Amino acid sequence: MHKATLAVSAALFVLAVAYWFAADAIPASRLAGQVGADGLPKLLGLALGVLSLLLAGQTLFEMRRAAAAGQGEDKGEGGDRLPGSWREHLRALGLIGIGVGYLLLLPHLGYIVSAGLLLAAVATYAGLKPSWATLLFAVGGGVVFYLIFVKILQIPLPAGFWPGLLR
Amino acid sequence: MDGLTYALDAVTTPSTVLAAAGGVLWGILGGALPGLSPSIAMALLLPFTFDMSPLAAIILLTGVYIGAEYGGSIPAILIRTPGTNAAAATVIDGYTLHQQGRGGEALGLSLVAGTIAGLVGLVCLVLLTAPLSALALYFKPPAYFALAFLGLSIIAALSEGSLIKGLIMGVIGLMVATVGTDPLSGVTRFTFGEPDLLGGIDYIFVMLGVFAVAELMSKVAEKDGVEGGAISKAVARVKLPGLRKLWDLRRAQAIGTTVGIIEGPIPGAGGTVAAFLSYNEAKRWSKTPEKFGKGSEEGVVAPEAANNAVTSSALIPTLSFGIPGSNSMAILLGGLLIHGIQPGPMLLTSRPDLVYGLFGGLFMSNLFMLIFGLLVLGPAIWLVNRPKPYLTAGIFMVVLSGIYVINQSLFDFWIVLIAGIIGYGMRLLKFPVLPLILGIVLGYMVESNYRRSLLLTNGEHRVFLENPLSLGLLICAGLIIGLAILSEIRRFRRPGIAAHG
Amino acid sequence: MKYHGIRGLLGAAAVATALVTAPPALADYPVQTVRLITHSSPGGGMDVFLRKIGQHLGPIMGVNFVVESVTGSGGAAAMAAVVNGPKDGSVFYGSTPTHIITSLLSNPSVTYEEMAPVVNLFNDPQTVYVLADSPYQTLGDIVADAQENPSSVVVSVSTPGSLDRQVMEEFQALTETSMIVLTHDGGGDAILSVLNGTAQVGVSEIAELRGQMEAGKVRIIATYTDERVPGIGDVPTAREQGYDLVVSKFRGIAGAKDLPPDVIAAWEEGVATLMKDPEFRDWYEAEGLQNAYQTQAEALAARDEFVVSLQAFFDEFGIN
Repeated sequence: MHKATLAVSAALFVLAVAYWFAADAIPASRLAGQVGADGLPKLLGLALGVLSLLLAGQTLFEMRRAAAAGQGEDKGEGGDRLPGSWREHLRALGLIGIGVGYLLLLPHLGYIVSAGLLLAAVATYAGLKPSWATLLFAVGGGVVFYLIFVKILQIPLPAGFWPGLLR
Repeated sequence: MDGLTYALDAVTTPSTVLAAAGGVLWGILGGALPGLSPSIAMALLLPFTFDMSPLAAIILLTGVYIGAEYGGSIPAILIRTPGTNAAAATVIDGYTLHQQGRGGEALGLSLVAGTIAGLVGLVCLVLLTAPLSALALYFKPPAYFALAFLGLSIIAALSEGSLIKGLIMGVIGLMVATVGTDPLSGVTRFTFGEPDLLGGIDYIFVMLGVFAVAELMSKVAEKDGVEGGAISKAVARVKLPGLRKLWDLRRAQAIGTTVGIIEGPIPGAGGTVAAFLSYNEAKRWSKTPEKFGKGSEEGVVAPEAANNAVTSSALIPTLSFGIPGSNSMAILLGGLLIHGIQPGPMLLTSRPDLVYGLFGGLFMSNLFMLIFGLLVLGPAIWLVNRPKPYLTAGIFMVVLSGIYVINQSLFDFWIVLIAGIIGYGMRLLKFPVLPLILGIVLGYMVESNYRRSLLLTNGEHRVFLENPLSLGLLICAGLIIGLAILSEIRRFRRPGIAAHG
Repeated sequence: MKYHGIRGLLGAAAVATALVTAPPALADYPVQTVRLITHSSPGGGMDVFLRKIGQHLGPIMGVNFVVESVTGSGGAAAMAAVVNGPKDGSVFYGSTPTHIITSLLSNPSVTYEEMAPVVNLFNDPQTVYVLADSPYQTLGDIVADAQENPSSVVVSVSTPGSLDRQVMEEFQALTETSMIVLTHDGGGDAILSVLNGTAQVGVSEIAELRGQMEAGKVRIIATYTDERVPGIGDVPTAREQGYDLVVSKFRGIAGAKDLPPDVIAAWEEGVATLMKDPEFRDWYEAEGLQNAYQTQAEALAARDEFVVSLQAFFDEFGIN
């Protein structure tokens, strides 16, 4: 946990620096008032920089204290390990992967088909054994979502290439 | 005819009763779907109001508003996904209660607290329109700044034990809020030439990501791990709180209702700020503040009372100035204008039938909210009790559907997914989520009003101390921050408690 | 404050217009159903405007008008929807200066350059107003005060990129005064700032002021128009008061570039007839809109002129 926190503080520090430079590039306008459009952003960049260093300092301090206190107590506090395993985190990211696939397919296959595919993929991914029930869930779910969002709520979600076939 | 007669007339006319009922039901369903904000739910029904009588139209639209502000709490409690922005504060304790198998109780509390607050708010709307509309006029840029700053100061109080992490998330939230068009000059900031970023990043996207998507990620990750944090038992059914319970929770109820009524008429503040402020105040004045964040009933009652009290008092500036304080009120104003009704200082004298009729309609809507709330909760609970794979897929699909309506751009879905990854990382490293949300919600308000204030005084900071409203709010903020720092230092000195982070 | 919206309205508007579409048109319009797209949310100014056009122009041109609101990205999404649609006269955009401002300030995939005005209908007069009990009676009073006390007169305008903001910056340059121009998140907030005394002067469109005007809370002291605006009392224009400033906040119809000439002709002819329709005139005069009918050629020239002045303004004040 501590090591990961240190890595995150380093990343946040980099973000702070990058943000500050991006803020510096905001064009100055006479209309922006006394503080300017870059005023708050620069302050935020600075604040994040300082806070990320503080976080690193605090973490190092806790690490030293934990080391001094000895290994046994450290475990008792549940301290120095990230919750979960790397395999779990990869599984978690897999869900995002499915989401990315959905977003890439959505403009081409249209909402109703993409929705069905997403439902099937996520349900299987979350532990459902592929079966007729999965298929039914995907087809039925796709239609239900289509009816709710596109037909009842009139949200113009992408239709995909299907309407082109009808012409 | 006097006011009461007009109101009674509205309550007994079938068309207005139907409008209130239909509006509330639609609102609850719309509010419960993440991404459909109250304003969008109202806009969807707007075309149907063209053929109605003006009174039925306005009752329908306000009914949707009331229903939607309540509906947002249902997914907040059941699936850790705020259905509306103002339900974000409900997630904390509502979902924790649900994980403890007490979701039915939380839903009941939210419904009853919301109804009571709505009715009290209505009484205030009827009796205190004049003073409350004066309140909206008192708020000048320095006071707006101080109000937003007070909201931000809650970050310090909400990140107990990890003040630095809380502040970091708050700053990142503020950074997200700077994306888009600069509030004073109109130059674009951090948009990288992307037109989708021109209007900024809507906080519903970030909320869906860090709450809902992150939760789903944890759920699928758990498959080969320990069942930590999973809901142990199926939720039995809705349980309405008894009178005794309500009496025990009276303090949170009163705080939420009061904060909501005061925030409502202030343009731009709205239900979200009211919910967070009242959550924090309820915690401060609670006899059991340690339970907040770990499944406190007061933590559900206060924000839900606040966002429903807002629904009544937010009408004040719209009706008495013709100036909408929020998106929802802008739609309501549009609905009135289409019927040729110009809200403003003259409305009460020129159309008393409409104003008092609306009061009658609001009364009905709050009662319908209680009835339909109960009816809807059964199916909602049934839905979340489906096996995990189906539920996970269904929630993910809802998240990746509704928000398309906001900008009609796939870009927003990418923001949600990225926010999901960040939210998952935040959970692992125990970074608090609420400071991030508060930063995004309040960033624009705090920056624009700070700079407007300085513009008005040619750079003199004195104005924040000279404006009594601003001074008072800033003192409150200072107290909140001071107390939080004090307790953080104490915590750090005693390593035994500190280690949990 | 960000205003969200949805497409919606489609069904209802289609039904409504279908019912009134009885008599055949002047010329045969190539398509049956025409979509009018706006970036404004339902109930917003442009949405109501397009719906009124659909209602009255439908019978004249013999087509069904359907209003769709495509919000997001300051009009960029709506522009893309129009330009990427079929180029047969079946999709148009309700145009205001907003889409040009968005094109110049950001880098949308589709800009005003890929579009062409079809006709312009109205000018939305920008007015200068003060509280009813304000000491200011004319623009001259404001200028005198601003000269005596530089940086103390506060003028309330709507959003940072709006025309009302722009005109007040130009007003300062013209009169060599220095005032404080306070921007807001929308027109409503801007009026509130005048009502609560934060600002002494405000700039707004008439429709938004109507409620306060009728209640006698505010009065208009000047309009930035060519001619006096009827229906708001006899208010002299800025030019009459000696300040040569005219803002054209046009409202019209635009489409993709290079639409068929017969489509353009049908619109020009149809709208010319529409502007004479007494019922339609009653509506727009009550809204405080001025008849500013322009054919495509005129509207195109006016747009180019507008772009040049806008670009000059942005360059001068370092906005990009």
